[in-house]
Amino acid sequence: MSVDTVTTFLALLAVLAVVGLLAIAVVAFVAAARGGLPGSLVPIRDGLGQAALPLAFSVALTCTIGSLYLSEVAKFPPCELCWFQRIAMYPQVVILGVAMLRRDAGVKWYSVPIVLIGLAVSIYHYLVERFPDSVSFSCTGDVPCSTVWVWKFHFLSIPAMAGIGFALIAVLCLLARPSVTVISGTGRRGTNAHPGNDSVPNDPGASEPGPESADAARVIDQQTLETSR
Amino acid sequence: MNDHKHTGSDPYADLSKRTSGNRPKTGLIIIGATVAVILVLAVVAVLLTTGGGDDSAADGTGASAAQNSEQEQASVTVTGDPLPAYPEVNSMVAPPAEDPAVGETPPTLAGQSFDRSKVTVDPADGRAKVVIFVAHWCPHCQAEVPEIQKWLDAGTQPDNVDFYTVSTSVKADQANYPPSDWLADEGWTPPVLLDSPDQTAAIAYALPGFPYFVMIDAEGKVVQRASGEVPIDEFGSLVDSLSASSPA
Repeated sequence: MSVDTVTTFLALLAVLAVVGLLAIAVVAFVAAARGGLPGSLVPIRDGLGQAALPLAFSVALTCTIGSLYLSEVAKFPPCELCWFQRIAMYPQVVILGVAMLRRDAGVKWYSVPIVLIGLAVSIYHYLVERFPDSVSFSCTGDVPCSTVWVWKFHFLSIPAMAGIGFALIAVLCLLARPSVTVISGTGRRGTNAHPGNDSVPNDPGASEPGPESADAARVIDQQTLETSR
Repeated sequence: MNDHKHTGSDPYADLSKRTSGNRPKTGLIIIGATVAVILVLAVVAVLLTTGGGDDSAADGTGASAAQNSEQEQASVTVTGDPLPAYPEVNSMVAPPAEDPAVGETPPTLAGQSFDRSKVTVDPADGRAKVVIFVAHWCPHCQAEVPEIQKWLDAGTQPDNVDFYTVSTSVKADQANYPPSDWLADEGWTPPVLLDSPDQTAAIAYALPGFPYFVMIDAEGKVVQRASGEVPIDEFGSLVDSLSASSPA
């Protein structure tokens, strides 16, 4: 498997991510304009809310493996800005992995801030690549951050793909919702461990204002009550 | 699911049915569809990157030598004294008044091109010349080379000025390697002298950074040096003034 094949595959994944992000942005815009999500899209929204954490974990894992492939197998040396993005990306595998197993949509309070810092570095790195003259006019001995290692489909470089990964993780974290069956399950375990302490109101993800999560929280409340009765 | 039974009395029954009925299934469908699309993309990536291959013939130029590339570096013989260090100036083009190299005779560089053909940069050959030092991994060189080639292709270059390239600081583990592919892809016409792994030619010409330009008049004296990306208009006017002061 050549480096070109792998980078093309990573670039195609980035294109897929861009398409997904655009679709979510359009739907969110329409929903904001109409004052609510069209009824036909509600099941998809619910499904996406449930799939969001596994998907976000997969994105972080893919970005991390891709990054390690590019430096360790393809031998592209990471520049300074690459390292800052790695610092923001690598821990997401563990954070989102644990959140996925615990089905804890509240992870967004931890993941999204880190991911947004990574996204800011990616955007800056991309601009340095596109406009090397903005940083300096000549190269000296060291390899500069403006070196473009991968260039696919006329817009995708390594920091561009990283930035898309960051953006997708952020959006998926924000879309993640505690699912009914699942949270009532963990909720039950939670109530067993800490009797009388309902886990749901402590969950910032679930207590966030918004009709969807409020409804879900109420349903969970009810189910938890029913099962504990 | 027994949720269905208490429809009517329970105000949340509808919601409960919707969420517990649809959510897990839709979630799995979304994950499954994503995996399927990713598998398709993997196949597309393999198909896109296997096969292909394009090449065009060229003639007696840097690009044709690069296409018949056999080597990326070669030993260089330097005859004469090295140039003095580049002055610390703020502009990319060193003003002649501040550049100690102006009026000096640079050393002769004798070496090989990609296809092992001989290339010699001889200041004493009675021709005005521009020597351009480039590094394949340098984004500023990558930006400047196509600009200069476009300028050369436009036919505005004077007949009494020769152009030489020195490919230096070659690093096999760096971006845009090998330089032969890069210059062939750009259709680069000036002859290319390959610097040695020790950067013999770059040191002899006191290279401060990439790209690096040394303008030499017909008497073999340096008239101007520039380090860094020079806007193509400025490059053009520097070459024009070199041409105007040189015999036709």
